[in-house]
Amino acid sequence: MSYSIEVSDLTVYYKNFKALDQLNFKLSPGKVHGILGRNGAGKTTLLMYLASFHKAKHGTIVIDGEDPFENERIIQGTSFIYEKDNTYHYDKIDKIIKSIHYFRPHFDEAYARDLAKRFKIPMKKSVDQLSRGQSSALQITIGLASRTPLTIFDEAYLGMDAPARELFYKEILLEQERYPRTILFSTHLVSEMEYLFDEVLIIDNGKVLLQETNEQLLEKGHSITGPKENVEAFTKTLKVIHEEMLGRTKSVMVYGHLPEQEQRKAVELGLEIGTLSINNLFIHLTREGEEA
Amino acid sequence: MSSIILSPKKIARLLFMEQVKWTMWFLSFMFVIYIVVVSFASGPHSSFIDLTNFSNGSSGIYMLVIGILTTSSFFYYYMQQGAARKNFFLGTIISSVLIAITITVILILLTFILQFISGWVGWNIHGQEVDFTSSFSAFIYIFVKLALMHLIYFLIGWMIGLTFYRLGWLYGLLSIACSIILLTITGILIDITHFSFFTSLPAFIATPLTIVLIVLLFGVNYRLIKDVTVKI
Repeated sequence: MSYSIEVSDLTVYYKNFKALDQLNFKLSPGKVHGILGRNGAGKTTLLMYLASFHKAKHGTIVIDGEDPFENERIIQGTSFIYEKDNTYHYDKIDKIIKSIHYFRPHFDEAYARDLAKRFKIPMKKSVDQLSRGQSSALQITIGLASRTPLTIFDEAYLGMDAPARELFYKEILLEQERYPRTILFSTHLVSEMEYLFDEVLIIDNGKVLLQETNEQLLEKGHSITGPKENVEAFTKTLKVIHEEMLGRTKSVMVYGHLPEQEQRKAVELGLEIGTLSINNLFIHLTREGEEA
Repeated sequence: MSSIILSPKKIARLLFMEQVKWTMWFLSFMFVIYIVVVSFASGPHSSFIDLTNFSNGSSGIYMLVIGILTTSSFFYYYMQQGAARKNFFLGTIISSVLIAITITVILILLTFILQFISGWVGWNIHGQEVDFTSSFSAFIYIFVKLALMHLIYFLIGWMIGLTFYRLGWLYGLLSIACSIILLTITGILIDITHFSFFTSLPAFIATPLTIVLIVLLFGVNYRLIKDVTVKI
């Protein structure tokens, strides 16, 4: 079971600051969506609206065909996982895991316990005694084991070490195979997570910068390397997002569809064409207007 | 899709179970303090007020405090677990009514028990302005008054907590000023609160006005909660 999401003209103001500016997009159900953006781009704000923590005043949000705000069915099926302040949370981990079935109809307690064990979360400790990484791992454990049709992870891995993050990513893929759901991931650790995403939505300054499937995105980013003059001549009409010089050799990154005919022409000019990772695209597309 | 599991009834049950635990702690301390005080203050030549009179005031303030805490300790938690605001609101109303009745029942019951055993241990206990031992109708009258007072104090506390959560400290402070006025009104309507400085009204006026006050507080709290932003 998984929810589809449709956002139309969503605009959010924080006093006079426009945090989100007429967002329009659709997220298909049963996929892993990467919501990428720089710090302050509006990722968390958007996710808070999708999780019905906020009521949308300008624009509409439709989840699984219905307005999610105060919609019992939709919010029961939505998990929002983020870094929580556990200073005053004195419950034992064991008790917390036991209690989730009160709230989430598809919660798998055995799986949660197994995951907690693999994340090395001490079951006998109370939540306020956990380290930052352990606390994040606990939230992720609950998020994954709740098996809600819409699961939102907002920078959920904060403080987790590399092996724990690796385990998290692996479990996402396994769980997605077993119980497909709509997963939203907000992150700026793009390089190590990009293989998880089926679709990517990049938000910049409160606006949708692009929305593509992973494959489409990989087809649109190219690096072109070769003698300076040839590279410049070839990329004159293309959208260059980054360039580097090394002696007489120039390497540029371009964004946009490059037809096969163009690619052959580049080879004839002695240029080398490579693909760009989502990370590279993300870094350079969201850096426009800044010093490269 | 399975049915909604965080229904108002379910939330009320979970909230009540937790609040009853807090109430038991509160009442235990109240009881111990009373026993200590009464054993010193009462003897063959001096009498001391009964438990209900003794804790009247403290129990109201206790309800006010758990009302204030409702938002910070429960609302945020239930929102994270996927509850609807209106279900949480209804659940809190049910549980607060139950807690108001429970605390009143336990206090009165303990008072009766203490009066019963006071003869054996040599205490001299008397009722003060809250007298429910003279007749059954007096008992019912006082019981309802106390339960309503506890409920109103909870609702006022809930309003303060919600205002701070939703509108910040400035409006929060205003809500405290407002609550002092409301407590004074409660003191006039229910003549047994520790805020009852003024002359009280006759029951046929006070009772409907009390109901109006409760409904008004329900309305204000619902307005504050129905589309409040859950802060993260």
